[in-house]
Amino acid sequence: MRAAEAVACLHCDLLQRRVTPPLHGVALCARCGAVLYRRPGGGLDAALACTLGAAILFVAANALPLAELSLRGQQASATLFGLAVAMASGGEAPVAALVLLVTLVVPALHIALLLATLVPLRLGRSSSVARWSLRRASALRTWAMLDVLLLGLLASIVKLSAVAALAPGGALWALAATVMLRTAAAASVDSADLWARLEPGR
Amino acid sequence: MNPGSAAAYGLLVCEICALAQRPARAAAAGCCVRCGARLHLRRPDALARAWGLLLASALFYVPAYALPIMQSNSLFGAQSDTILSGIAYLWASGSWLVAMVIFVASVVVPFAKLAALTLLLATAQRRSAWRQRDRARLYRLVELTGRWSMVDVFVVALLAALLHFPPFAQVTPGPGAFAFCAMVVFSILAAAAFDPRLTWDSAAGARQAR
Repeated sequence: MRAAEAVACLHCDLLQRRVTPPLHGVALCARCGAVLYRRPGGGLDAALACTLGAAILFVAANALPLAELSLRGQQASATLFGLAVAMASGGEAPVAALVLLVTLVVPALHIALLLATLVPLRLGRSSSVARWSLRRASALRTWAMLDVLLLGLLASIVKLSAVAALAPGGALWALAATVMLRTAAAASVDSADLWARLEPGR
Repeated sequence: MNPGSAAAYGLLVCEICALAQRPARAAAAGCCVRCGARLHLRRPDALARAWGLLLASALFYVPAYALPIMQSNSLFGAQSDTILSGIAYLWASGSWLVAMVIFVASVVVPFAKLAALTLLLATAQRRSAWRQRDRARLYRLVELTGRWSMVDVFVVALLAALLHFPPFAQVTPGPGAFAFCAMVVFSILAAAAFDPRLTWDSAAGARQAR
């Protein structure tokens, strides 16, 4: 087997011959069943469009209120940044730092790094900046928890609407759209394909 | 090393960009020729690190469930809720779906994860060939589900951010939130430190290869 035809499974290290899966299909490891690579239909344009959309909507998700509550004639609203602030003012500084990281800093960084990868690729350039960005982005992925946050927000809104007059805010919709666009972006390109395009000297 | 593996062919596989390469080709010592990430045959000290992080995570299980994750104050008195009493309250007040989501994410997943990682680490350490494909599937499940345990922390964060009407009604996070976060973070790090390829580096496989 020549190295170019061979692919190793990251989950079990089995070296196997590269095959081309059908469009929208996946290639699974022959031994452990992990996904080796996919052949998505979207392509670079779709990934870039979705990531740009996610970036814009994530800004909106930070600017608008997540929810508004009225109780005994008083009004209160919470923003994404306010979640960490509430934890910090409640005396839980380490928890506040973690919440700030996984709901705001890491997701913003992740989107920025993906843009720094996709924009040069779309312009037909393979730069060391793009390679550095994609490497950092894949290391950060687990810690960008917008999808988990969205589930938590929905759960607490159901919980709160039982005791108070609660209106979901614009940020909730923006956040839901950000999560969907990020998922769509990830589904439109395969990282193995991105890395092949980013090969130095191409 | 297991037969048919890249390692058995003398190839190192980059964990970031998946390029299989000969160690000698690496431009900077120990780094991937394509993406520049550190190259390892297997994640360094995978078992020792994963055991250590798993133990750190396990230490926080008792305080995470025993200490209150939030305190509610109102004119009628103060109330402390642990994760479990919060779920019981949701269930009793008729929000079954939300109660179930929180129960699965913050009770079932953490305990299943602790058991699964213990099993994966113990079998990999003994270089066991027992049900390798199922163990591989279990690891992928652990990797996928671990982060969803954070749901309850976000619930407390939104309640604390929104319910801030002193002295009528106020929610503040409790010390259980810290223990719970520590438990979840250490268990995610433990899963990341373990190398799933060790599942396949079994003693039987090594004998076969010789």
